[in-house]
Amino acid sequence: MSRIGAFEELVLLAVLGLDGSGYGVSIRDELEAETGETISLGAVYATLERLERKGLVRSTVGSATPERGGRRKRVFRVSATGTAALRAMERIRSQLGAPAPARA
Amino acid sequence: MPDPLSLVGWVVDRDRREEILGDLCELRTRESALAFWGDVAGVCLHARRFHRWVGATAAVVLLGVTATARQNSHRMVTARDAAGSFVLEFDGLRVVRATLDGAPVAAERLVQENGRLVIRGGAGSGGDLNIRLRPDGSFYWRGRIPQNLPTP
Repeated sequence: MSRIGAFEELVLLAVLGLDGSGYGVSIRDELEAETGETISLGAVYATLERLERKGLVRSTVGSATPERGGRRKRVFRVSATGTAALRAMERIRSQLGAPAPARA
Repeated sequence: MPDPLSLVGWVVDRDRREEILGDLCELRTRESALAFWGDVAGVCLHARRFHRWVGATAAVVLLGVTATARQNSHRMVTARDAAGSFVLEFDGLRVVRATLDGAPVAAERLVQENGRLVIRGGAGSGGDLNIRLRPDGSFYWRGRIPQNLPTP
């Protein structure tokens, strides 16, 4: 399974939270709202592209809208592999945070 | 001032251009000019095509610098030993020509390998001139024997 970095994990979680409606701007908005930090749009695009190459997200091209100058959105959805990667990260985190078993 | 969307359209990969330009178009209506230009810069700096351009430019600059450095490494050094004077003409760390007592040395008399240079002496020349060349460009030599030693 692909290893994911901290920012990749955040982007994956944001995509998951947007439930199939996430695209560049909305993913960045979600990340900024949750982290309280300014996030570079370029970093979001680069991470989404990397996640797609790893097979952790899938994208489809939506329809054109007037506020976008007639340009279409690329909408992202977390793949089954991406969900498994998030679960694996959660498991690792809980195991690392759990108290060590008592020794005899 | 250039149109930011044209700039981004020029830098980002073709297969991602439409959605990125659309996102920026959407942001332009709701962000301050400063924040918008920040986004434009961020998108350009993260674009793979931009990284490829930077890499290609760096490679060209490096080649140019290396070629210039090679040209600059051409030098001539005059030195003396007990038998007389000699001149070494370097190209980088390699001696390409030499002169012994003002007379050019034939190429076949220059034997150079593993940081050592031997200038084979002709008849009546006082023997071979042995030179050790260091990687930093410095060199050391063992002097020839002078031909006309003063009689005691």
